Amino acid sequence: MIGTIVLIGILVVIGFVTISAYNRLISLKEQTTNAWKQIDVQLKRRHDLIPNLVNTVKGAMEFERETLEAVINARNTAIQAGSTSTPASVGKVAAAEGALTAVLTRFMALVEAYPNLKATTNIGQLQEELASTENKVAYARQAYNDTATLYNVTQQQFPTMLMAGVARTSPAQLWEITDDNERSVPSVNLSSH
Amino acid sequence: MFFIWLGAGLDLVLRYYYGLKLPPIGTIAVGVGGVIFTWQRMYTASETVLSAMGAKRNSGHSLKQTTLQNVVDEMCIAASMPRPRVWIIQDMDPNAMALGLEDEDYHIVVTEGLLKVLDRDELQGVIAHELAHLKNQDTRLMTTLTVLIGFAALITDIVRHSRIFRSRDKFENGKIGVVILVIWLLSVLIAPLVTKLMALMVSREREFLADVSSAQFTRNPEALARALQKIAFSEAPTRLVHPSCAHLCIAAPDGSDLGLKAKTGWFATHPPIITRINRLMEIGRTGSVLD
Repeated sequence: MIGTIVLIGILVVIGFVTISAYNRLISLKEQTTNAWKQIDVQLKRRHDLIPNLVNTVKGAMEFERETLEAVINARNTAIQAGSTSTPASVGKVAAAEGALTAVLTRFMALVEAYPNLKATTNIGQLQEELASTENKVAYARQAYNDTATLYNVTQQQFPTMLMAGVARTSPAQLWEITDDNERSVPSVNLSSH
Repeated sequence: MFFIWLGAGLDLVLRYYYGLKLPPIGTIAVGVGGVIFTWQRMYTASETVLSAMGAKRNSGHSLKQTTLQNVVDEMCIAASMPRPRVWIIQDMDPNAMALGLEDEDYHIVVTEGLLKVLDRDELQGVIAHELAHLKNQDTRLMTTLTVLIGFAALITDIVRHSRIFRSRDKFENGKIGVVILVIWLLSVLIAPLVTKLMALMVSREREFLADVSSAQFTRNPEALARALQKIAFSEAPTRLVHPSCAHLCIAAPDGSDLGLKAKTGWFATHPPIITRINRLMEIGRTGSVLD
């Protein structure tokens, strides 16, 4: 009698642990996917902002046609790379977006060098908007990496690792800086203006 | 539990004082009444506090206000949570608070002074701290406690002012009843104090937790430390914040957590600001949380 009760007790505990491990994995899997989509949302926002940005400053920055073109080109490349994005193909998207970040940083530094552009009042708003957009992309990546790391760790931990096969989990790739341009601090030569 | 205990006591009073043999109406009445009272107060608490401070929705008209909205959006992304409503109050002392029970009812309030003295990074640290309060459900807990303090005070007032307990001789007809009644009376009288102390204890612990979460979201604990320093150096009290809402703020509105003579112990709403700054700098230096 007591043996049966103990056995049932053990089975109940095992059942409970199994179910909660499975649920935790599924929940983290969904959170990771969601965090990934959030990066896409923010990148799309940035892509939409760039044409407006270039139009606003086009008149005052005629001498910088090259930079403006570089910004537009980098944007188009990034959109193309992003159109087929999945968590598995992080590398390609990251490279394209990294290049875009690099040109945008150069572009912002150039805006600083144009006093008549800075004199107009809405350039402050524009700079704020651009800085915020960059931050949003960065924080979306950070949130993705945090969630993905938690997901990856949970997949390898006991007892959740026993349920990894049933929940069909696979390690999520983290978003890393692949482009050397993004890692280096941009240098701007202001003497030519 | 608390309401049933209150109600049971009222029943005893009715039974022994008036000699009435009634069903336990007191228990039911106060129990149900208390739950309804708490429920109603909790769901209108945010609006009450906001309108009492004269808070205005952030319109985003000036550059500062656009920055504020952007910073809130950025931190929501970092914390993976829905956007709260952002309010500004016309007070020159820098301070901030978070309110709300659930996703649709989240509010963040900042003072005009906060926007004025903090730079973008520091503002980010403060906003992340407030969002952490919402995410950790601290505001839910604190609002509940605030309402409970109010209810406990209300009942205590009623008991204190009633003339029922002036004459003791009426209680002769039941020794155990009297003992229970005395215990009940004592518990009712100290209930506001106990709930208040509980609220304060929770508040102090939660401030540290929110500081750490803020560092996690911004990856920049030094900025929050700088912000706390600036908040500490403007010694003027935040006038528009009622003392009963003190525990909702990022720094004690009466400035009691400042300096070397900072108020500590059981009655402080906030840990000393200097301790918080030191802990944040420690996180910045080592990259991990040590306790």
